[in-house]
Amino acid sequence: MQVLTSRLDAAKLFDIQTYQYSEVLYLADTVAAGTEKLGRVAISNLGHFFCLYVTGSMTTQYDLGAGATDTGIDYLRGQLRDGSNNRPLFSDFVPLHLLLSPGRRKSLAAVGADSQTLFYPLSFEYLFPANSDILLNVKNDANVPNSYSIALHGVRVLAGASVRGA
Amino acid sequence: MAVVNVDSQAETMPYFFYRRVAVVAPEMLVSFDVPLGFTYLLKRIVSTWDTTDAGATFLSPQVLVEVIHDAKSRYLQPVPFPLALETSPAGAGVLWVNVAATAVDQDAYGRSLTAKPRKYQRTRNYLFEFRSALRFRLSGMTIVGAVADNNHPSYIDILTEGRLNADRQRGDLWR
Repeated sequence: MQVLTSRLDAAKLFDIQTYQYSEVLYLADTVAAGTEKLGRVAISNLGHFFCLYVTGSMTTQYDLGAGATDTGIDYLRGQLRDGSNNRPLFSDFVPLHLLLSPGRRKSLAAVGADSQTLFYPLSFEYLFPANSDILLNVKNDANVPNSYSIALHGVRVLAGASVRGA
Repeated sequence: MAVVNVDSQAETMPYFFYRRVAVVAPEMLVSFDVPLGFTYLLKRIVSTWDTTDAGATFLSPQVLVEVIHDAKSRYLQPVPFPLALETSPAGAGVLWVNVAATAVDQDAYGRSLTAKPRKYQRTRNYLFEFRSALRFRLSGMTIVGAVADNNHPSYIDILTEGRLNADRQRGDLWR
């Protein structure tokens, strides 16, 4: 049980939430076999997005001759960029399993346990400006399509006076 | 509640160095250069490597690591120690060798590893000045050559999580 030791000031909290509030941006895409694809999520003109954590998962499909099957191997690698200035935030394409929790999205037909038993969101503190994109360039080394889905957890900071009404 | 102003162009930003290293010798050096004009705060090291051959025979290569601040020739540990004690997921299982050339991997070098994601990491919090390098000296490895064509070594993935800090005290760089 969590005990609150101070009274919550609803008026003050609502006032703060007028300007900034918790938000999750979601990016999901499928990358065709042996190709590269640029995924993007728009920050929009609503306000800046201060990212705090990244979570995500991906499929691990490959065709060994009998159709796509879940091999448990990570075929996806990606590079994150700040779309406002095309600034790379990784030095190279990083295998997604090194970044994402819970990671592998297991197919029902696949044997073996899930590779992730605990949940450790990646700490990633970065301010993405309004009117820009978060870019994730992903390469798929498999001979079948693979998908990924990523959630960016952070705080929306409203940008302009017109939006804030101030 | 205080208002915090964030300078998105000059404050710190997350930056991850990554390299896949082919194990071609029992002792190897891996270096990451800190970009000019930035210092680099190393937060965490995430690493993985294959522990089986193509026949799923468990080989369990041991990997020892020494983290070195090269500008000062400073070793961040007195003796090499197992990389598995520094990082997760460490040994990852299968090295994928059924690789065909693709548009994004024309030489079929993408020898992917088992998707065994990161778990809890301990934090280093060590600062490297600009124009220095993070250096990893890997040793103690059993070379796994028994993959499908018997010609390719195994691989070690090294990812460093950290933050680049604009070194604004070096004013000439920013004027």
